[in-house]
Amino acid sequence: MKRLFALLLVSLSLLVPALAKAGVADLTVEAPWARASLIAGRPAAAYMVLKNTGTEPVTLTGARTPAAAMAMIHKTETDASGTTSMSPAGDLVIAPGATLQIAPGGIHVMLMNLAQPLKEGTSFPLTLLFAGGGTLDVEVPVLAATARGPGG
Amino acid sequence: MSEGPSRRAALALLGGGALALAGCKPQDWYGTDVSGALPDLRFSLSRARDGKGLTQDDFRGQVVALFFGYTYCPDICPLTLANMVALTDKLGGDAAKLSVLFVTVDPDRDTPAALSQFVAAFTPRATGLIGTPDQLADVTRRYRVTYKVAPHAPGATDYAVSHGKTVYVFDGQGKARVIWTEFADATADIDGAAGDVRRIAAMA
Ligand SMILES: [Cu+2]
Repeated sequence: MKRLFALLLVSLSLLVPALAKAGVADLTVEAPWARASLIAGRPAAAYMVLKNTGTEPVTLTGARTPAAAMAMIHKTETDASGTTSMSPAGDLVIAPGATLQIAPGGIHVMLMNLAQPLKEGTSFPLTLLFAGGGTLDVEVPVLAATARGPGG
Repeated sequence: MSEGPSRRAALALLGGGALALAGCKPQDWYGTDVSGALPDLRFSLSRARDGKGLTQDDFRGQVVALFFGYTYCPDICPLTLANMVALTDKLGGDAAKLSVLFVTVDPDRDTPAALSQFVAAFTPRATGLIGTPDQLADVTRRYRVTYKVAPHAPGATDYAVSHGKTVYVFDGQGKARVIWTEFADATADIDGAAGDVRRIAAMA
């Protein structure tokens, strides 16, 4: 019994830091940006590049931000006929050493019911949510409506 | 639709022709050559800005880049328009030879005022166009543009829309010349597209 308890303690001690970190400490965020809103009431999208520099896979599950009542990870897909649609991306696993491009035409952080239209030159905080409870805070600059990437 | 197989055949022939010619004449379009394979420019739609009815005749002498979208689209549609801005920048003075036509597939939510504001925020070379259900059906059927608006209650603002992202490019006589299938991408080849516009402008 004592031995079982000790074993349990050991496995817990292994488990707890993993849960607390969930590999998120080894994630880097590069080039976050969002397109300025053109018209009030329209949804917006945020983009960035996530790199997993660690040795454990991390799984992006969602996002939240005070800038929008609802934030979701979306995927834009194009079928064989060239028809494009977007839908929830589901859980996105970033393998050790891998990079997740969150970029126009692929994956975006969909921001619905904005508190106010996104204004060029401002920025807003965004929290990425990961499996295991890890979170990552990103400050997202708002670029011109005509921006094509993080460089404008 | 009866023209389906023949159009596919024409496209296949075209592909074969391009291959056969590859040895002596490089295929130097950025887009896919659709000359003779897609119908001439023809539509009847209303300009979002002022409600004026427009047809292909209003764009005679212009290279026309026609595509479809909706203003609630946060990703592909603004990116395509941003790429159009980059294209007009690249074209410089030649941008005056290009008209960009953005047709909404979501007239329930895209009021004329909203569509006009959306398009104008990008480039004055772009015109937002709205159709009645019949007018929209006509132009989308003509170019086999697929789109789907999810069923929704009147006045609803939260529903899904899917749509074709291809850009259809016509010469000054309204002849279909190329389609740009990759122009809605972050990596769209702006130089290549500018080359197509200049070459098509020189044809008519
Ligand atoms: Cu989305």
